[in-house]
Amino acid sequence: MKMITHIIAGGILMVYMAAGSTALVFAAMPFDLSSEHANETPAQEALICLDCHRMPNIHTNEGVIASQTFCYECHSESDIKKRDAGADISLRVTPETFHQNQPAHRFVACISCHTDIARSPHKTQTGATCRECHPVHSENAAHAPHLRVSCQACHFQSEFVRLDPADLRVKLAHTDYDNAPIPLSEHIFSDAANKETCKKCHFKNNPAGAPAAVLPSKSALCIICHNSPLAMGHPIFGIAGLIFLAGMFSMIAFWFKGSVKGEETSVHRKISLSSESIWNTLFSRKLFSLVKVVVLDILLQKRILKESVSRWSMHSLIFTAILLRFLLSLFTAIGFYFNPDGELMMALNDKNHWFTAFVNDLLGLFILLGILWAAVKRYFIKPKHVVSEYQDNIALIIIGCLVLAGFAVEGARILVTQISFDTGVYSFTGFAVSRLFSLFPLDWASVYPVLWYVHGVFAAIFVAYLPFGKMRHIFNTPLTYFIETVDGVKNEKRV
Amino acid sequence: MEANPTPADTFQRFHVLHRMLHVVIIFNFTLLAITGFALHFSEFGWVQVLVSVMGGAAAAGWLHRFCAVFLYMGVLVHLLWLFYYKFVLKQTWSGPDSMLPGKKDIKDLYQNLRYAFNKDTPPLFDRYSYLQKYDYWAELLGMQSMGITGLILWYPDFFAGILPGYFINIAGYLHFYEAVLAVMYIGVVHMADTHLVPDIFPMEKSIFTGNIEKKRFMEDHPEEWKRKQMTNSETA
Amino acid sequence: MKLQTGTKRKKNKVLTGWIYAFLTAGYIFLAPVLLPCTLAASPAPDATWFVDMNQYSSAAHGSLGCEDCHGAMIESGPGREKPHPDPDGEDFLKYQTKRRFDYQSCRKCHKTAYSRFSEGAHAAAADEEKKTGSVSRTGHAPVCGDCHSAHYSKSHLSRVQTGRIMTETCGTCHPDQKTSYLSNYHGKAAVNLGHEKSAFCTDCHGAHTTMSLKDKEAALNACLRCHANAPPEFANIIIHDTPKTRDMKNDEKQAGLKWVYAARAVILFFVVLVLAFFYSHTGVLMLRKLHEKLRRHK
Repeated sequence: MKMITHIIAGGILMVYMAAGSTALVFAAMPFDLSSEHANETPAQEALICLDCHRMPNIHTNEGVIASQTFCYECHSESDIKKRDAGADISLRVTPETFHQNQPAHRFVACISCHTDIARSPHKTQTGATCRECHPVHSENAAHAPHLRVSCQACHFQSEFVRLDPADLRVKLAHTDYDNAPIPLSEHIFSDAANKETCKKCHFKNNPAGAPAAVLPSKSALCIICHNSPLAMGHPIFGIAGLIFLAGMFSMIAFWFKGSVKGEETSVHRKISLSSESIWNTLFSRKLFSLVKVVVLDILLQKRILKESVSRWSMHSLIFTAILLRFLLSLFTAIGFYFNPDGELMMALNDKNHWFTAFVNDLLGLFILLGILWAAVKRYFIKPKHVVSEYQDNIALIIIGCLVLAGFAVEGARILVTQISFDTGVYSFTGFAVSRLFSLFPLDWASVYPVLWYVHGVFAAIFVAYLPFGKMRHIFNTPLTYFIETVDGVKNEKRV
Repeated sequence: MEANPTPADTFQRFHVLHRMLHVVIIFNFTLLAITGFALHFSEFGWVQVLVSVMGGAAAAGWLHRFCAVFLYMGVLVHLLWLFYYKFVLKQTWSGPDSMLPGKKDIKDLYQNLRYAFNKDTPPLFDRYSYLQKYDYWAELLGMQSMGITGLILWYPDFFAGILPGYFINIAGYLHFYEAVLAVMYIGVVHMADTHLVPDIFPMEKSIFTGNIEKKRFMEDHPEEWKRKQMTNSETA
Repeated sequence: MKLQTGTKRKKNKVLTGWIYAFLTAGYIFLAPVLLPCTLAASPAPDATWFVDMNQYSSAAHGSLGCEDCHGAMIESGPGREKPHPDPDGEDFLKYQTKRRFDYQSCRKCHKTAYSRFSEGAHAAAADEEKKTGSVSRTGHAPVCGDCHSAHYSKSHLSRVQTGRIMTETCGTCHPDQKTSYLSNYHGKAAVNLGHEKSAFCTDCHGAHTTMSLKDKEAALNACLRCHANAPPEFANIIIHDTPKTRDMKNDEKQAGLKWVYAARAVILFFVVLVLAFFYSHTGVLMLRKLHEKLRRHK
């Protein structure tokens, strides 16, 4: 009985809150629906002006037609042109050609894209924008450095591009490479999925500040550190992934050579028994102990801290930095999928945004410092308890070269894409590298793709090697901790 | 029955007056920080909601000044107590039980840093560690400068009569940056040093209850323990 | 984790029920605050050839017909000998309509504002521009249409609403002053917090009679409007303290500003130093103590 009264009271409270909030919303409405003049109609003569000058409702098909008609009044004339550098450039657009070249935009008003052209002087400052309706591309289709490329530069069929020095964006050029003016009024789309289109900018000595080669997208494997698409990317990553899987498989197969809960021979039964065991553990109270192990022993590395503060610091520099990068990349990839227009997601997707740039550089530097500390300890200080087998050396070298190559690529990217100091200063390490590189008169637009592949190859090797060397501990150590917790048998007492 | 009898194996560390003053500080410091930063960071929507909940900009401003005066009253009470302590109770302002910094504190800082890097044993503190002394002086002197800059900002017309005009601008910056320093210091360093130290976690209660356990006394203030040859019946 | 049974469990159910009720109520209450306001009227794009009649009819000039202000344009009548602009004209589509419009038509109804404007610095700059043809470093000198939208300006706005719009408008040509104003107490209280007693741009610089407050006397008079007891030195308090506006100030203020920057740098340096030292001090000690404690719990 008491419960029901509580529910009713709560319900009344909810209704009251809802009513209150509705009133709040209406009170806060930004547009003023009342006006002293609302009921007066303007004088009769003004209607002539309003025949053309009334803003049409471009959210309706009728309004779109009206709006387009206004522009076509002049722009469908056969002699409509502008004079530029001694040449006549046609500005003709007719309904027929527009429908033919952009059938999808048939019921889109001209001013939906050319937002600031319908005024005097009849010049646009912002150009045509696609962002009124279309979100930016994710990491998948066109990765972060393409955020500064205007939509038309890829999606319109004109082969000439330029880097606008005012806002450092890549746009279509209004002149060809001999400086003769060209018309852009045909509105013809290009096939942006075709790699040939990419060669518009990605060629040697290009004016767009782009690398001289078309690079593949990042692979899904790269999500360990970077915001990546769900794609294979270059085949080398596919091969690395396969080797990784093969390695993991052989490792697990080796484990299953032993007996599982008394079962010696049937692999099928072994897998059955162990799956049951894992399932039962996850759905029991032991789960909380496992969570405790995840937080204290895996995330916070308590057991290393127990051994030594310096070892904990060194390992955390590497581990925590990679973990944070992974979480940030995962968050960006998933968040962007659900909300590509969100300010936060766009900021995280943009490598040059101050937050993304700073955090990535800082964490990358931490990894490098951790590796260097480890290397110094292992090869110079050489404490007695540290034994360096060849697998230790390989692990250090792979990660070390991976991160160093990463900073090199970043420096080259900043240099080639001509990032200014104000933007670049936040990627403090990469910017410093780019300043260093600028001292060497190489064709950095051509060197950049090479550096990219170097970094990619190290990443592929890193992933492929994971199940084979010391790096295996990232899977085995947590597994050991879990088993210990569930079994209650500490490592020392195991045979 | 005596209210809250001191259990065996605890000793009184803080007198009621000090505990009350500390609560006064907590309460006012928090409100000062909230109302002050609400003005400085007012471009954010949620801050504007907070200010409207407080009753608007004028009300928030009034609350800020009220808490400032209230806090300063606490400072004055503390100063009065200091005089009471010396001239009525005939105690001394200096000595090992006082907040006055000395050579030992510098030695302790050095030793503590060496201990952090595993090169030495932890230092043996007297009644107040060097960090606690630093905290005390930083607060005391900090409140003076926040008070003065705050007064300058409160009565700019008066102060423009005796100082150059741009001093009011400087007072504004000093007031803000010192507020940031104070909040970031208290919020992280002070909280960590008192409550998050592994042996003490989750909470150090002696500033509120006034009593310190024998174990804590012997570990955190060994020099004072040795000096006072503590027995159960002794008081601070 | 003990299983709770018997009476204790029952108690928790009721508590849980209340918690859920409050949470739901809270969400319903907060939802309009947290969700983006999708009810905002769609703003007119920068297409000034078109007039959004919805907004126009609810704006201050909504009762006026086109010819009340644009009379000269349609004077000619049905044949339209006088072009409206003339498509065959030399500068067709090339000039800025705001620059060409005859603002005498505003004067018809807004006499006081017009006469006050003519006394001010904006009118003087506009005259200068007309005479010499060159633009000042701030930009084109504004006339009526540059600050007020004749089509969409609303009437009967509150002081704070007007002030907020004003900050954006003035800030278009005076961005540094806008930034420094918004980092000053006056801007934060007035614009962000809607504090009516604080000053907006025109409270100091005069509405329509826009004036520079470089002269100490003029500045003091502006301050005295609200700070009745201000001594002369009060005028040397710097409101707009960004570096870009430094050379617009008188010498006394410029010197003062140098001291302000110096003091700021010193203060910031010490704050960073103190925090960096104590954070690292606490950090390393905390790790060492955690390590010791872990070793004691074998």
